[in-house]
Amino acid sequence: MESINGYQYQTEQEAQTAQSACNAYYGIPVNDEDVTRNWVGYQFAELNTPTFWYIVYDESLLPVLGSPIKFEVIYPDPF
Amino acid sequence: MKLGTNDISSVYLGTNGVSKVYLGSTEVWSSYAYLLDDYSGAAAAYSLRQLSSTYTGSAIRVRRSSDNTEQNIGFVNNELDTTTLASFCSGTNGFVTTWYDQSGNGNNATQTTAANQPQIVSAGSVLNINSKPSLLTDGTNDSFTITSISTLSSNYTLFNVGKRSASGVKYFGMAGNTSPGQAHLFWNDNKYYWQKASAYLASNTTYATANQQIMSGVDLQTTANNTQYVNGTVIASTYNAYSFISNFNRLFQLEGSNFTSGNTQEIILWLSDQTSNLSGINTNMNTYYGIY
Repeated sequence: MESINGYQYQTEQEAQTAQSACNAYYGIPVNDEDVTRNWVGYQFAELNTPTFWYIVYDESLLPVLGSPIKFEVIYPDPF
Repeated sequence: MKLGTNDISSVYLGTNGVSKVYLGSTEVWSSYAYLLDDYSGAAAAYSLRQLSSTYTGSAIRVRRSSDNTEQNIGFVNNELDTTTLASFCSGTNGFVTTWYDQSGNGNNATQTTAANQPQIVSAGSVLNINSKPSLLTDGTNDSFTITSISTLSSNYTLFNVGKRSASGVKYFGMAGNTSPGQAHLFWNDNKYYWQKASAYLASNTTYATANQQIMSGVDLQTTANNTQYVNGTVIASTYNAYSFISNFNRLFQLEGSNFTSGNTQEIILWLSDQTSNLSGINTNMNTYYGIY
């Protein structure tokens, strides 16, 4: 289990909406041929109960997503 | 270039050594040893120097932070074109969206999410390690995706040139992203691990260093107890039977939640046993990077 500073969402749709808001704010993608398609990614906390989606905090997200919160994410053991 | 049947290792104009010889506009000799010319057949090859005399593509594609536009950056005299790179980034930061595969297999390493792209320029300055450019990964989410390379039915040899950001952090290059994944690890317990198809080797002692180094390992399908190396020297290790998923599909990300914190300059995979070439490959890398 690891403490994450970021943004937590109950549904994938909410995480995608947050991602889209960041893309719109930063104008991503700039050109159709660009490799960069998103400003930030989201992840699925599949081992948590209940499961949820989350975005890890980065200072560039502050003007778009606001202040982050802290929450716990369960990761699989390496082996 | 040969003189009779002998390879020419150096050329002088008077008392000055020259790096290249041209016949008209055609380069016929170079003092630079292209790694993949001498050790061919790589399955994937990522570097910030030119590895093959026949490779004509770019080294990397870079996104600059000032306006998020992207541009390919190639080579000048077999090295990353840092002049064009610095000019493109123009005092801001540069992040790598694509690390092009020089093996000829087209398995380019890409990162489509800006926040997860490794950095190569900071405030206009190229991030060098030991005077050579490097990719900086933050240990949080920076990584590349590659098309999955299966090692299920072949021997393989993996090389990685780079350094971790500090003692006690995780460092690795090519890896499998589904647990349990393959990789050659310099882990946060300061031990080296060679996680291969049917076992993992754990170094017998810890190493506190965060110096630049060449990490390598060979996996032979028919031999259980193989060897891991650092700077061409065997790392004394203990064998542990274990079953790993036999593929590579990421750079700098292992099993979903583990990321590399450090700088990397070169990652090369051969789907073959390169044991007999280990010394030569290490020498080529060390001649260029000046590590040990």
